[in-house]
Amino acid sequence: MRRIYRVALLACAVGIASAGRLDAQVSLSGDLSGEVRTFVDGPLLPGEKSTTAQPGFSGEVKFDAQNVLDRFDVTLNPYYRYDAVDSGRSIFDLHTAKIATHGNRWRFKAGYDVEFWGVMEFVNPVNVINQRDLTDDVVGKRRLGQPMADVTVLGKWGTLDLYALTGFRPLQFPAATGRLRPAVPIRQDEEEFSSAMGRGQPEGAVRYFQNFGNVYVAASHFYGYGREPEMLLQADSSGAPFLVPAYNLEHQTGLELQVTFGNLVLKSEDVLRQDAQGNGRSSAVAVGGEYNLSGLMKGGRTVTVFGEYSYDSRDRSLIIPFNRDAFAGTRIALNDRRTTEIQLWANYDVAEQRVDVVSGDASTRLSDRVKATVGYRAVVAGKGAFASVARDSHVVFKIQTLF
Amino acid sequence: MALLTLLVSWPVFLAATSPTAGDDPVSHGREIFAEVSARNGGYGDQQANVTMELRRRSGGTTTRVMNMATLEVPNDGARTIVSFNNPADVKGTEVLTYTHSTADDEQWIYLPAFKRVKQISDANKTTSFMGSEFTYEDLNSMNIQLPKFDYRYLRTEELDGTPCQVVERVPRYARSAYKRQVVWIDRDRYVVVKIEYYDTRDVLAKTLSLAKFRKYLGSLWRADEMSMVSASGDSTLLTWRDYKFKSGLAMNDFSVSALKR
Repeated sequence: MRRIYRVALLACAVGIASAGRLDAQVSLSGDLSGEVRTFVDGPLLPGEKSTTAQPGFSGEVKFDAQNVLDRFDVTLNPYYRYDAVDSGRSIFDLHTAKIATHGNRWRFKAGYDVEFWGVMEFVNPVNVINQRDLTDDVVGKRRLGQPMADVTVLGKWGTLDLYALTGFRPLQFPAATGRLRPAVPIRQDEEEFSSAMGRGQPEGAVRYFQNFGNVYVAASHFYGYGREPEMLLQADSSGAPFLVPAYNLEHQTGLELQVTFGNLVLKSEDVLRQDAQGNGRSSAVAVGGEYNLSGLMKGGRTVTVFGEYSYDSRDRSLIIPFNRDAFAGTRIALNDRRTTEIQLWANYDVAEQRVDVVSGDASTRLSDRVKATVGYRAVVAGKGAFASVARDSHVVFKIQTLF
Repeated sequence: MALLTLLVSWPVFLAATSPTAGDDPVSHGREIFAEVSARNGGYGDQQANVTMELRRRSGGTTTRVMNMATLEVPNDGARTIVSFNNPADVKGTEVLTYTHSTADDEQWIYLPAFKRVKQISDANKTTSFMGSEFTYEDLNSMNIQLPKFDYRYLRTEELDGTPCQVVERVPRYARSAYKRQVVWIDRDRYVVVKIEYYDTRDVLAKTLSLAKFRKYLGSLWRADEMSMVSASGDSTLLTWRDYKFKSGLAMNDFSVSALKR
């Protein structure tokens, strides 16, 4: 893994160093953010630090050099996050460190990158290439960079992507001192892989997508480690239980469908997973839609409401927190000079008939280079998969300085 | 004598400024826009750096910086990518638009925070473009799509000393924010110099003025400045710089895959 990091960084460093001399179009940007998570209640689990304020900071740099040697694009996007309380939240990640080139009907890239698959807002079962950044936000969308080579072929018939992957990224969990974790400690350093090649196991994927007017379809197949591990319960010599993440090789076949009818967008994601040894099979279905209410608003505001249902045949846990859930949410963009946005959503566990999570975020730009965000994650019922985080409702304050 | 001259010349003036004999206002209005479209086309692809100044009536100016690239698609429309450079929190955001001659336009947005490309509902076109007085609909209609409007020639008149033909156009596509638009077209160069936008209640909502035209490639006229003033008094000034044409951009450069580059 470290070798892949070194090679990617070296290749990008060469690109950066030579970009100025090779008539490339270069841009550099990034941000530095200070963040405080403030928990409403004291901790529930033994080992969790009693402090309710959890400060930290994060920063990222985005370097982009286009037309290096009149042919290549070099992109570098390292990200670092430090958490003063939970070492499991501290992370360095190469979101992107890649070299890309293209012709009239093809594209190629190699290095670290993030590939988003899917059309849903809340749960994206088809989105399998990159590992989730679980500790950034338990219901967040941030993904970790994945080493890959990707060939894209484009035609009137659609777009076909072929991926070769390696350097698997396991989930990073909160430390024992951190909040928002299972009751039983996790021993991440004892993680197991069904392949003897461990993280170096080659993986592959293929995806086709096409737009037919207002209809978007995509089909994909992935072979590699399932991104959500099976959590094996084990005990140490004193009988104390602990969990070990176990990653199994599997095939995942996915379908995406989206149909737009003016203000209404209907969508679906479906996957079938088959254990590579043929021992187990699981499936997931997400269906729903969004409706744009902009026509009813004054002053150019965009208001979109979302409704989705997500099913996953796997058991519910903090890693798979929603498996028979309806979601309702809204996104309000004021389209003002400060790019003010508000997002609200909640789940409804259809099987247990209860709301587990209510989430809200509001962001606005205080000046050209400073952005403020306030988020709230409320653990409502605190039962079932959410029992160990029952006291972990929290507010997130974030100030982002951009350059 | 002066009166006689006026009486003699009046029919000549009418002949020069009215639709020709046999032309009805509808077909003449369409002919004018067909000529605008013909003269505006043939650029292949174009790129420009655009600065957008948002000015409040109450004072205060906010600036946005972006790059706009357009590819002409013969017999259909155009493909456009707008790449935002400033403000810093939207840097890297890109909007890809396919404007079609008859079908609904298609639009995708690339959100760099999640490396996600999301298709935008057609209803989004009536919303403000980056908090400005422009909407996506206004920007899309800069690529003249003849079948998307009904036309009616109104009159010929001078606008700031420039002889113009004034044509009303009524959107034929669904979900427009406008009941009609009144367009002033430079009679010599066949470029749009002013548009009045009337909302669905037929109230004047805003006015677009184009200025500082320059000729490129021997025949293409492009405005360096576009000013949109809303009825509220707020305004947005688009300043176009560093035009480049026929750089060899291809369909691939305007694909969903290109957004993720």
